[in-house]
Amino acid sequence: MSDARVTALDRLDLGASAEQAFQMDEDGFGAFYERTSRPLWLYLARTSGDARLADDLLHETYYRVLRSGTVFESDDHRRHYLFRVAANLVRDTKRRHGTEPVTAIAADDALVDGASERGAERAADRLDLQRALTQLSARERSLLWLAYVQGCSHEEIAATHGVKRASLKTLLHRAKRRLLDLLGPDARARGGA
Amino acid sequence: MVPECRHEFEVAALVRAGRWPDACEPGLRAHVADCAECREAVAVAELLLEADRGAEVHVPSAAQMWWRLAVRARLEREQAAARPVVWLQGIAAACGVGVVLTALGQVGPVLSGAAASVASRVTATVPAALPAVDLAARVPTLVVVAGALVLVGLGTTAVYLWVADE
Repeated sequence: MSDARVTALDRLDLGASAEQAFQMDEDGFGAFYERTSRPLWLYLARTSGDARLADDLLHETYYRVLRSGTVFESDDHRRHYLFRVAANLVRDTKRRHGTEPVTAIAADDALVDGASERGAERAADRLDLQRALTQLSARERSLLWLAYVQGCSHEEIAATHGVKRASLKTLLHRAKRRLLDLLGPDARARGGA
Repeated sequence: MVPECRHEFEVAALVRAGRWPDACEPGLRAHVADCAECREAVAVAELLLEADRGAEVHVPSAAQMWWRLAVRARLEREQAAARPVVWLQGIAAACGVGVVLTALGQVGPVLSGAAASVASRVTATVPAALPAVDLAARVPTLVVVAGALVLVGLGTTAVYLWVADE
Protein backbone atom coordinates (compact mmCIF):
# COMPACT_ATOMS: atom_id res chain seq x y z
CA MET A 1 0.00 0.00 0.00
CA SER A 2 1.64 3.24 -1.08
CA ASP A 3 1.16 6.47 0.85
CA ALA A 4 0.00 8.25 -2.32
CA ARG A 5 -3.05 6.00 -2.58
CA VAL A 6 -4.09 6.40 1.02
CA THR A 7 -6.91 8.85 1.55
CA ALA A 8 -7.56 10.79 4.74
CA LEU A 9 -10.46 8.46 5.46
CA ASP A 10 -8.19 5.41 5.11
CA ARG A 11 -5.73 7.01 7.48
CA LEU A 12 -8.45 7.68 10.02
CA ASP A 13 -9.76 4.14 9.70
CA LEU A 14 -6.25 2.70 9.91
CA GLY A 15 -5.49 4.73 13.04
CA ALA A 16 -8.72 3.63 14.72
CA SER A 17 -8.20 -0.03 13.88
CA ALA A 18 -4.57 0.18 15.09
CA GLU A 19 -5.64 1.69 18.40
CA GLN A 20 -8.12 -1.13 18.80
CA ALA A 21 -5.55 -3.81 17.90
CA PHE A 22 -2.76 -2.34 20.03
CA GLN A 23 -4.85 -1.22 23.02
CA MET A 24 -2.84 2.01 22.92
CA ASP A 25 -3.44 5.35 21.23
CA GLU A 26 -1.00 7.07 18.91
CA ASP A 27 -0.05 9.75 21.43
CA GLY A 28 0.67 7.20 24.13
CA PHE A 29 2.78 5.21 21.71
CA GLY A 30 4.60 8.35 20.58
CA ALA A 31 5.64 9.24 24.13
CA PHE A 32 6.76 5.68 24.87
CA TYR A 33 8.63 5.47 21.56
CA GLU A 34 10.44 8.77 22.08
CA ARG A 35 11.74 7.52 25.42
CA THR A 36 12.75 4.05 24.29
CA SER A 37 13.57 3.94 20.58
CA ARG A 38 17.14 5.22 20.79
CA PRO A 39 18.28 3.00 23.69
CA LEU A 40 16.42 0.05 22.19
CA TRP A 41 18.06 0.49 18.78
CA LEU A 42 21.47 0.76 20.41
CA TYR A 43 20.79 -2.34 22.47
CA LEU A 44 19.70 -4.26 19.36
CA ALA A 45 22.68 -3.02 17.35
CA ARG A 46 25.18 -3.83 20.11
CA THR A 47 23.85 -7.24 20.97
CA SER A 48 23.15 -8.40 17.42
CA GLY A 49 26.30 -6.70 16.16
CA ASP A 50 24.47 -5.63 13.02
CA ALA A 51 23.11 -2.10 12.57
CA ARG A 52 20.88 -3.06 9.64
CA LEU A 53 19.42 -5.99 11.50
CA ALA A 54 18.74 -3.63 14.38
CA ASP A 55 16.45 -1.56 12.12
CA ASP A 56 14.32 -4.62 11.34
CA LEU A 57 14.31 -5.87 14.91
CA LEU A 58 13.28 -2.44 16.18
CA HIS A 59 10.06 -2.59 14.16
CA GLU A 60 9.47 -6.23 15.12
CA THR A 61 10.02 -5.56 18.82
CA TYR A 62 7.49 -2.72 19.01
CA TYR A 63 5.00 -4.75 16.99
CA ARG A 64 5.25 -7.74 19.30
CA VAL A 65 4.97 -5.60 22.41
CA LEU A 66 1.89 -3.83 21.07
CA ARG A 67 0.25 -7.07 19.94
CA SER A 68 1.09 -8.96 23.12
CA GLY A 69 -2.09 -7.89 24.88
CA THR A 70 -0.10 -7.66 28.13
CA VAL A 71 -1.43 -5.28 30.74
CA PHE A 72 1.46 -3.17 31.99
CA GLU A 73 1.52 -1.97 35.57
CA SER A 74 3.81 0.95 34.81
CA ASP A 75 5.96 2.50 32.13
CA ASP A 76 8.99 0.77 33.66
CA HIS A 77 7.22 -2.56 33.34
CA ARG A 78 6.48 -1.84 29.68
CA ARG A 79 10.08 -0.77 29.10
CA HIS A 80 11.49 -3.94 30.65
CA TYR A 81 9.07 -6.03 28.64
CA LEU A 82 10.28 -4.24 25.51
CA PHE A 83 13.88 -5.16 26.22
CA ARG A 84 12.88 -8.71 27.07
CA VAL A 85 11.18 -9.10 23.70
CA ALA A 86 14.21 -7.54 22.01
CA ALA A 87 16.60 -9.94 23.76
CA ASN A 88 14.51 -12.92 22.67
CA LEU A 89 14.37 -11.65 19.10
CA VAL A 90 18.14 -11.23 18.94
CA ARG A 91 18.63 -14.71 20.38
CA ASP A 92 16.17 -16.28 17.91
CA THR A 93 17.75 -14.44 14.99
CA LYS A 94 21.21 -15.59 16.03
CA ARG A 95 19.95 -19.16 16.34
CA ARG A 96 18.43 -19.04 12.87
CA HIS A 97 21.32 -17.40 11.08
CA GLY A 98 24.15 -18.42 13.37
CA THR A 99 26.52 -15.71 12.19
CA GLU A 100 27.81 -12.71 14.06
CA PRO A 101 28.45 -10.11 11.37
CA VAL A 102 29.52 -7.41 13.79
CA THR A 103 29.46 -4.06 12.01
CA ALA A 104 30.66 -0.85 13.53
CA ILE A 105 28.05 1.66 14.60
CA ALA A 106 28.93 5.05 13.23
CA ALA A 107 29.94 7.66 15.74
CA ASP A 108 28.03 10.91 15.80
CA ASP A 109 30.16 13.51 14.01
CA ALA A 110 29.00 16.23 16.34
CA LEU A 111 30.35 14.31 19.30
CA VAL A 112 33.63 13.27 17.75
CA ASP A 113 35.96 16.17 17.27
CA GLY A 114 38.78 14.43 15.48
CA ALA A 115 40.91 17.56 15.40
CA SER A 116 41.28 17.85 19.14
CA GLU A 117 43.51 15.52 21.11
CA ARG A 118 40.65 14.54 23.41
CA GLY A 119 38.41 13.84 20.41
CA ALA A 120 41.00 11.59 18.80
CA GLU A 121 41.49 9.78 22.09
CA ARG A 122 37.76 9.20 22.41
CA ALA A 123 37.50 7.94 18.85
CA ALA A 124 40.34 5.51 19.52
CA ASP A 125 38.67 4.34 22.76
CA ARG A 126 35.44 3.77 20.89
CA LEU A 127 37.21 1.74 18.23
CA ASP A 128 38.92 -0.37 20.89
CA LEU A 129 35.56 -0.95 22.54
CA GLN A 130 33.98 -1.97 19.23
CA ARG A 131 36.75 -4.47 18.67
CA ALA A 132 36.50 -5.83 22.20
CA LEU A 133 32.74 -6.19 21.93
CA THR A 134 33.10 -8.29 18.80
CA GLN A 135 35.05 -10.80 20.90
CA LEU A 136 32.15 -11.21 23.32
CA SER A 137 29.16 -13.42 22.64
CA ALA A 138 25.75 -11.88 21.91
CA ARG A 139 24.59 -12.97 25.35
CA GLU A 140 27.55 -11.35 27.08
CA ARG A 141 26.95 -8.10 25.24
CA SER A 142 23.28 -8.24 26.13
CA LEU A 143 23.98 -8.87 29.81
CA LEU A 144 26.39 -5.95 30.03
CA TRP A 145 24.03 -3.58 28.27
CA LEU A 146 21.01 -4.51 30.29
CA ALA A 147 22.90 -4.26 33.57
CA TYR A 148 25.09 -1.21 33.09
CA VAL A 149 23.37 0.87 30.41
CA GLN A 150 19.68 0.06 30.93
CA GLY A 151 19.96 -0.39 34.67
CA CYS A 152 17.88 -3.58 34.75
CA SER A 153 17.92 -5.53 38.00
CA HIS A 154 19.38 -9.02 38.36
CA GLU A 155 15.85 -10.46 38.46
CA GLU A 156 14.84 -8.72 35.24
CA ILE A 157 17.97 -9.77 33.38
CA ALA A 158 17.64 -13.34 34.65
CA ALA A 159 14.02 -13.45 33.44
CA THR A 160 15.00 -11.96 30.08
CA HIS A 161 17.68 -14.57 29.47
CA GLY A 162 15.90 -17.46 31.12
CA VAL A 163 18.64 -18.17 33.66
CA LYS A 164 18.66 -18.42 37.44
CA ARG A 165 19.67 -15.40 39.45
CA ALA A 166 22.77 -17.14 40.84
CA SER A 167 23.90 -18.17 37.35
CA LEU A 168 23.29 -14.66 36.10
CA LYS A 169 25.68 -13.18 38.64
CA THR A 170 28.41 -15.52 37.44
CA LEU A 171 27.68 -14.80 33.78
CA LEU A 172 27.63 -11.06 34.35
CA HIS A 173 30.83 -11.14 36.36
CA ARG A 174 32.59 -13.13 33.62
CA ALA A 175 31.32 -10.85 30.87
CA LYS A 176 32.53 -7.77 32.74
CA ARG A 177 35.95 -9.29 33.41
CA ARG A 178 36.28 -10.46 29.82
CA LEU A 179 35.51 -7.04 28.40
CA LEU A 180 37.99 -5.33 30.69
CA ASP A 181 40.67 -7.93 29.98
CA LEU A 182 40.18 -7.40 26.25
CA LEU A 183 40.47 -3.63 26.65
CA GLY A 184 43.62 -3.80 28.74
CA PRO A 185 44.78 -2.07 31.93
CA ASP A 186 43.81 1.44 30.79
CA ALA A 187 40.13 0.53 30.75
CA ARG A 188 40.31 -0.99 34.22
CA ALA A 189 42.02 2.14 35.51
CA ARG A 190 38.96 4.23 34.53
CA GLY A 191 37.11 2.85 37.52
CA GLY A 192 39.42 4.56 39.99
CA ALA A 193 37.62 7.79 40.83
CA MET B 1 32.10 -18.22 44.46
CA VAL B 2 31.65 -15.05 42.44
CA PRO B 3 32.78 -11.91 44.22
CA GLU B 4 29.82 -9.63 44.75
CA CYS B 5 29.22 -6.16 46.12
CA ARG B 6 25.83 -4.76 47.03
CA HIS B 7 26.96 -1.27 45.95
CA GLU B 8 27.82 -2.32 42.41
CA PHE B 9 24.47 -1.44 40.85
CA GLU B 10 24.16 1.69 42.94
CA VAL B 11 27.47 2.92 41.59
CA ALA B 12 26.49 2.03 38.03
CA ALA B 13 23.26 4.01 38.50
CA LEU B 14 25.28 7.04 39.59
CA VAL B 15 27.42 6.76 36.46
CA ARG B 16 24.25 6.56 34.32
CA ALA B 17 22.83 9.64 36.05
CA GLY B 18 26.09 11.53 35.45
CA ARG B 19 26.64 11.91 39.18
CA TRP B 20 29.87 9.92 39.36
CA PRO B 21 32.29 10.83 40.88
CA ASP B 22 31.67 14.49 41.72
CA ALA B 23 28.07 14.39 42.95
CA CYS B 24 28.53 11.21 44.92
CA GLU B 25 28.79 10.71 48.67
CA PRO B 26 32.42 10.67 49.87
CA GLY B 27 31.75 7.43 51.75
CA LEU B 28 30.73 5.64 48.59
CA ARG B 29 33.71 7.07 46.71
CA ALA B 30 36.00 5.71 49.38
CA HIS B 31 34.29 2.33 49.14
CA VAL B 32 34.75 2.19 45.39
CA ALA B 33 38.42 3.00 45.75
CA ASP B 34 38.79 -0.19 47.85
CA CYS B 35 36.31 -2.44 46.03
CA ALA B 36 37.46 -4.16 42.83
CA GLU B 37 33.91 -5.13 41.84
CA CYS B 38 32.66 -1.54 42.05
CA ARG B 39 35.69 -0.18 40.24
CA GLU B 40 35.07 -2.61 37.39
CA ALA B 41 31.39 -1.70 37.36
CA VAL B 42 32.28 1.98 37.04
CA ALA B 43 34.76 1.25 34.26
CA VAL B 44 32.31 -0.89 32.25
CA ALA B 45 29.39 1.51 32.76
CA GLU B 46 31.48 4.51 31.69
CA LEU B 47 32.80 2.73 28.61
CA LEU B 48 29.41 1.51 27.43
CA LEU B 49 27.58 4.74 28.19
CA GLU B 50 30.19 6.82 26.45
CA ALA B 51 29.98 4.60 23.39
CA ASP B 52 26.20 4.92 23.36
CA ARG B 53 26.27 8.70 23.80
CA GLY B 54 28.59 9.06 20.83
CA ALA B 55 26.72 6.66 18.56
CA GLU B 56 24.87 7.88 15.51
CA VAL B 57 21.31 6.58 15.69
CA HIS B 58 18.72 7.03 12.95
CA VAL B 59 15.41 5.61 14.03
CA PRO B 60 12.12 6.37 12.26
CA SER B 61 9.94 9.03 13.84
CA ALA B 62 7.17 7.91 16.21
CA ALA B 63 4.53 8.80 13.60
CA GLN B 64 6.29 6.78 10.90
CA MET B 65 6.68 3.79 13.18
CA TRP B 66 3.03 3.97 14.29
CA TRP B 67 1.94 4.12 10.66
CA ARG B 68 4.02 1.09 9.68
CA LEU B 69 2.80 -0.89 12.67
CA ALA B 70 -0.81 0.03 11.89
CA VAL B 71 -0.46 -1.04 8.25
CA ARG B 72 1.08 -4.33 9.30
CA ALA B 73 -1.67 -4.97 11.85
CA ARG B 74 -4.30 -4.34 9.19
CA LEU B 75 -2.61 -6.62 6.64
CA GLU B 76 -2.39 -9.42 9.19
CA ARG B 77 -6.02 -8.94 10.12
CA GLU B 78 -7.04 -9.14 6.46
CA GLN B 79 -4.94 -12.24 5.94
CA ALA B 80 -6.56 -13.86 8.96
CA ALA B 81 -10.01 -12.97 7.63
CA ALA B 82 -9.21 -14.38 4.18
CA ARG B 83 -7.93 -17.70 5.55
CA PRO B 84 -11.38 -19.41 5.64
CA VAL B 85 -11.99 -18.34 2.04
CA VAL B 86 -8.70 -19.92 0.98
CA TRP B 87 -9.72 -23.11 2.77
CA LEU B 88 -13.07 -23.00 1.00
CA GLN B 89 -11.33 -22.63 -2.34
CA GLY B 90 -9.14 -25.62 -1.55
CA ILE B 91 -12.16 -27.75 -0.62
CA ALA B 92 -13.98 -26.65 -3.79
CA ALA B 93 -10.96 -27.56 -5.91
CA ALA B 94 -10.70 -30.98 -4.23
CA CYS B 95 -14.43 -31.58 -4.85
CA GLY B 96 -13.96 -30.56 -8.47
CA VAL B 97 -11.11 -33.05 -8.93
CA GLY B 98 -13.24 -35.75 -7.30
CA VAL B 99 -16.18 -35.08 -9.60
CA VAL B 100 -13.97 -35.09 -12.68
CA LEU B 101 -12.43 -38.41 -11.67
CA THR B 102 -15.89 -39.90 -11.04
CA ALA B 103 -17.09 -38.61 -14.39
CA LEU B 104 -14.10 -40.16 -16.12
CA GLY B 105 -14.88 -43.43 -14.41
CA GLN B 106 -18.42 -43.31 -15.75
CA VAL B 107 -17.65 -42.13 -19.26
CA GLY B 108 -14.47 -44.20 -19.67
CA PRO B 109 -16.10 -47.49 -20.66
CA VAL B 110 -18.36 -45.72 -23.16
CA LEU B 111 -15.40 -43.95 -24.77
CA SER B 112 -13.27 -47.05 -24.87
CA GLY B 113 -16.17 -49.00 -26.42
CA ALA B 114 -16.65 -46.34 -29.07
CA ALA B 115 -12.93 -46.23 -29.77
CA ALA B 116 -12.83 -49.96 -30.20
CA SER B 117 -15.77 -49.77 -32.57
CA VAL B 118 -14.13 -47.05 -34.68
CA ALA B 119 -10.93 -49.01 -34.78
CA SER B 120 -12.71 -52.07 -35.92
CA ARG B 121 -14.50 -50.13 -38.70
CA VAL B 122 -11.29 -48.56 -39.89
CA THR B 123 -9.52 -51.82 -40.14
CA ALA B 124 -12.67 -53.25 -41.77
CA THR B 125 -11.03 -56.54 -42.40
CA VAL B 126 -13.69 -58.34 -40.59
CA PRO B 127 -16.87 -56.28 -40.50
CA ALA B 128 -18.44 -56.68 -37.18
CA ALA B 129 -21.17 -55.03 -35.24
CA LEU B 130 -20.35 -52.32 -32.70
CA PRO B 131 -20.16 -53.55 -29.14
CA ALA B 132 -23.50 -53.27 -27.57
CA VAL B 133 -23.27 -50.08 -25.50
CA ASP B 134 -26.49 -49.06 -23.90
CA LEU B 135 -26.10 -45.28 -24.24
CA ALA B 136 -29.69 -44.68 -23.33
CA ALA B 137 -29.04 -46.16 -19.86
CA ARG B 138 -26.01 -43.91 -19.35
CA VAL B 139 -27.74 -40.62 -20.18
CA PRO B 140 -29.01 -39.81 -16.63
CA THR B 141 -25.52 -40.33 -15.13
CA LEU B 142 -23.93 -38.15 -17.78
CA VAL B 143 -26.43 -35.40 -17.14
CA VAL B 144 -25.73 -35.50 -13.38
CA VAL B 145 -21.97 -35.42 -13.94
CA ALA B 146 -22.20 -32.56 -16.42
CA GLY B 147 -24.45 -30.64 -14.03
CA ALA B 148 -22.04 -31.17 -11.14
CA LEU B 149 -19.13 -29.98 -13.28
CA VAL B 150 -21.02 -26.84 -14.24
CA LEU B 151 -21.91 -26.18 -10.59
CA VAL B 152 -18.32 -26.63 -9.41
CA GLY B 153 -17.10 -24.36 -12.18
CA LEU B 154 -19.62 -21.69 -11.33
CA GLY B 155 -18.97 -22.00 -7.59
CA THR B 156 -15.20 -21.68 -7.97
CA THR B 157 -15.63 -18.67 -10.27
CA ALA B 158 -18.03 -17.04 -7.78
CA VAL B 159 -15.59 -17.55 -4.86
CA TYR B 160 -12.74 -16.19 -7.00
CA LEU B 161 -14.73 -13.10 -7.99
CA TRP B 162 -15.75 -12.51 -4.38
CA VAL B 163 -12.15 -12.73 -3.12
CA ALA B 164 -10.86 -10.54 -5.96
CA ASP B 165 -13.53 -7.96 -5.16
CA GLU B 166 -12.62 -7.95 -1.43
